This record gives sequence, structure tokens and C-alpha cells, in this order.
Amino acid sequence: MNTTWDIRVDRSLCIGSGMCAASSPAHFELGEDHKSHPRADVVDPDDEVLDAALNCPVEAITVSDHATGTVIAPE
Amino acid sequence: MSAEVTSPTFPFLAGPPLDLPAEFELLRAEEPVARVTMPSGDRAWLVTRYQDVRTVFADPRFSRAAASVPTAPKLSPRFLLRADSILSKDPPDHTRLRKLVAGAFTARRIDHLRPRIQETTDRLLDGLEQVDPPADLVTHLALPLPVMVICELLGVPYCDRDRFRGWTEALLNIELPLADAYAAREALDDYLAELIADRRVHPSDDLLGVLTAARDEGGKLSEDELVSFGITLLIAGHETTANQIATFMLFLLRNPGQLRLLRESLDLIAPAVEELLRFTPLGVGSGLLRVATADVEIGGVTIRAGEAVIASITSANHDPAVFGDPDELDIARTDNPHLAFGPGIHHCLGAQLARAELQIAIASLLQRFPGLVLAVGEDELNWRPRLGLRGPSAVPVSW
Repeated sequence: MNTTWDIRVDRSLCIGSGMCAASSPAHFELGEDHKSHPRADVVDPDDEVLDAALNCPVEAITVSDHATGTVIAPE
Repeated sequence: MSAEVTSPTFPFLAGPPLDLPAEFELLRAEEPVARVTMPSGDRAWLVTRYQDVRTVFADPRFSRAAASVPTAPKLSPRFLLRADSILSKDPPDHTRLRKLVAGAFTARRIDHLRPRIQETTDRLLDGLEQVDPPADLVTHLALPLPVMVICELLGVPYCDRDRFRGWTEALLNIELPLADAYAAREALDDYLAELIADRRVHPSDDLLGVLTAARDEGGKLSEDELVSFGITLLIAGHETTANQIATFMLFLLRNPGQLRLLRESLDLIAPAVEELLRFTPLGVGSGLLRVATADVEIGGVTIRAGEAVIASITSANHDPAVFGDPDELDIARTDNPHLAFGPGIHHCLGAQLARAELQIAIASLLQRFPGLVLAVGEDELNWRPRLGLRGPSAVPVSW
């Protein structure tokens, strides 16, 4: 079975820096309120998503293994 | 339409440094994407509306890398930022460099630094208390606080501050001969190379140590990128915050009602700092210049590939379409999506650190010196002669 990842954006943490939406527009977009949300909650593994989670200034983005729930990024 | 609007030169430096250039309001209303001429003689498009400014920063076709090649339009011939600095990169290079240090600047990590920033602030204010007023706020707090903090984070010896401060000043001062700026840039390169060489003999877990290890063990960046990253972190890590601590206090002293409100309710410090970030025209009031890599339409104007774009953060932060009473300082403002740190991939790496330093510096100063006043007239203040990163060279205060 192919691995897939869950992307979650904690909107209470998101400050709308727009870093994820600019660096990984395939996976994130900013809403009307300038807060980020993932375009799809479950995605195929992609380093761009990990970079977005690592570079988020408030660690609002969590990437985890869809099958096991293990957090992949940040950390 | 007035002559100023049809053939403006940018930046708008004619008025007093604390005042918002009147051109922005006019341009937002009449010509939101306007042709301007820069000090270099090159032309650029100046974008002044909030939504358009956001769009420019978010669109990868407005490139920093394309603005960093020798033939690109320049703001000024003095603009000596290296092409291998993170500020001059697009993805994927930008992403590769940024993630090497992003973890050190997250909100969580900066929260852990707060006690240390408070302790440093308290020590500096102890020193200020010993002085017979009037005393200079820049010398006693605004400059040394961010210099000490970035020195510790980066691993740059604080005792070298006069050397790297002197070079930074020479790099930015538009009244010095251009040769001095080039010499200062060389000196900074050599200085950082020395510190990095030392890390190779004595590894460390400060940011310079981490970056040096990332180069030597992981090959994650080139030697030139490593040196430029160090210089960028050192200068961006203190110049902006130093100017803001000083300028924020000037704005508060200029607005006694707001100053009193903040002094009486220091729990407003977080929204107050956000409002002062929005309100203060930092630098020339624009993010770094971008160059279009394709024809892009923005605000009804087609910007051609190869043309330069300046998205004005200062103008966006005063756009009445987004901010009610934009030219009023309102420290209790709640809905405040200001762009002071720049949206998009180049969003200020040190934003959370700057917030912590600004909140702690301003709150502690107001607490310890409740009778603080400016000891000279506002029009007697001397401002550093710069195109960017403007700030007062001294702020004499009494208490």
C-alpha cells in the first residue's frame, strides 16, 4: 500500500505569513482571512510539504503519516 | 493628476522621516501601479494598494534572484547585497537555505528566549538609570539589546560590535563615498570568514556553528552562501529592531493619549507592537525590489518580463480599504493584518524574535521610566543618512 500524508493547518496558530502558499502553492492556499489551509487534507508524499512545515514561523503546519498518525514534520 | 504623480522619483524622502509620504495616498487612489524612477536612474513599477502588494509578494514570477543579477534594474548603485544572500534567492535555493535555520526562529523557540531577552533589557535599563538625564535611548537600549541578542544567537563576539557596526554603517550611509561601502562589504566578508574558520576548529551549537556544520557535514550550502548568510543574519538581526525600538518610542511620545493607555495597561503591549509595526515607515517603506520573470498583469497594468517592481509595505499598511482610520495610531487595534514583516516566502525570518524584543524593550522602558520625555524637539533629531533601514542616530530622553 502506498504511503499518504495528512496535512493539518492549525488556524488558531496561523499568522498568515503566506510562506507555505508562496513556496508550495500546489498544497496550500490563503483564504479570505489570509489564513492558510491545505488544498487537500491527504496527499502523496512530497518534500515541498515537509519544507512548508519546517519553514512555518509558528509551526502551524503538521504533516503526519495517514496510516499510522506518526508526525513527520515539524521535528 | 499632479506632476508628482506622473513623474515621481522613489523613495519619497522629502518629508520629515516620521511622517508618511503624502504620495502614497494619492497613488493608491489614482495610480495604484505607477512608474517611478529610482536613485540609480533605473525605472520601476511602484505598487501601493494592500491587495496588490500581497499579490506581488506571493507571486513567484516576481523574482528576487532575477533582481540580483548584475544587469537587473537597481534601487541604487550602492545596493551591495550579495547575490548569494538568502534575500537574493528564489525557490528552491531559498527554501534550501531557509530551512537550515528556520527551526531556531519559530514562535516556540523564541518563547524560550524571552527570559534571556528580559534579563538583558533589565541590565541595560539598570545602566540607563545610573546616567544623569538627558541620555541617549539608542546607545543605552535600542541598539545594544538587539546586538546582544543576535550576537548570542549567531555566535558573534559582542566585543567585536564596534567593528561590525562600523562596517554596517558604512555599507548603508549614502553620504560616504561608494568605495567605503565596497571596503565595508569586503571587511564584513573577511570577518565572517574568520568566525567560520574558528567554528571549524571549535564547533559550536550557535547558528554560525550549525550553518558551518551544515556546509561541512551535509554540503547543504556553498562557502559563499555560508558567509553571506552570516552577514545577512547579523545585519538584519539588529539594524531593523534597533531602528524600531527608537522609532516606536518616538511615535508613542508623539501620541501622549496612546502612551498613557499603554502605560496603564501593559497587557496591551502585544497589539501595541503590532500597531507600531503597521504604523512605522521602516526603511524606504518597501520590500526589496523584485524583477518580473514573465509578463504579469497587476492592478490593470501589464508588467513586462525584466521590469522591476517595488511593492510598498508602508503604503499597504496605510490602505483605508483594509485599515479603519489608517493614519491614526490605535494600540488597541484588533484586526491588524499588517505586512511589516513582508508576506510570502521572504517573510522576515526573525519576525517572532523582533516581536519579543520590541514587546520586552518597550514595556520594560515604560515600566521603569514612567516619566520618560523627549529631551529635544522632534525636528532636532538626527536621522541616519540612508535609503533603507532608516532610524534616528540618537534619541535624547529625560525622566
